[in-house]
Amino acid sequence: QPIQMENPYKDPPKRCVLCGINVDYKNVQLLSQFVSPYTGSIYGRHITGLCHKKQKEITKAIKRAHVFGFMPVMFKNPQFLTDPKLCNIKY
Amino acid sequence: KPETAAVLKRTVEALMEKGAVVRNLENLGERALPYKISKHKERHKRGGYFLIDLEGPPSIVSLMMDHLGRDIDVIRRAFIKHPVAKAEECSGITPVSPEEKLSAKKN
Repeated sequence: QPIQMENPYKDPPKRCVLCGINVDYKNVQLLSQFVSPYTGSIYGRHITGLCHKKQKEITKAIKRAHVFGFMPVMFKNPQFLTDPKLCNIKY
Repeated sequence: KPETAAVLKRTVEALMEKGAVVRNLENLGERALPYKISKHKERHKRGGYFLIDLEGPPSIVSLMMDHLGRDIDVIRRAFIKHPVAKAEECSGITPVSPEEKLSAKKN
């Protein structure tokens, strides 16, 4: 008789890039990786590939950083232009 | 530099006077601002960033925003709730079945 059990060959749930990383409005480098270098606009979820929670946290942190004077609004800080690419965007 | 020390002292004293408990004061460094800010009839390009950890009654917020708004040396002021570190139980992306995607409303 076959035993009823959960599928043992299931993959572990897919994790997004920021799963487990604490998002803060103060680390401008992390925030700038999800911002366009030309216009400074925040990338959508289809580009960043983040889960709902983390995308929300990132947008809120970016907007906070704009207001508090941590991150530039209309462009990306040139110091962080050579950061590794996290979003799948083709320029 | 003695001016920044004086500003900090003033703000912390004002906070304690209004009944807040200052837990920690961090200096996030002095750097060039991301954009030029005009405040109190002056265009600022450099500034020092400070973070004050405090506990107090919520009525303090509006009073302190008023107080800091009148201070000429303060360029930008803000109050935030203390972030609760709760990111340990992030359980990846849960797969959504196609029926849910169909019935989900599009905004």
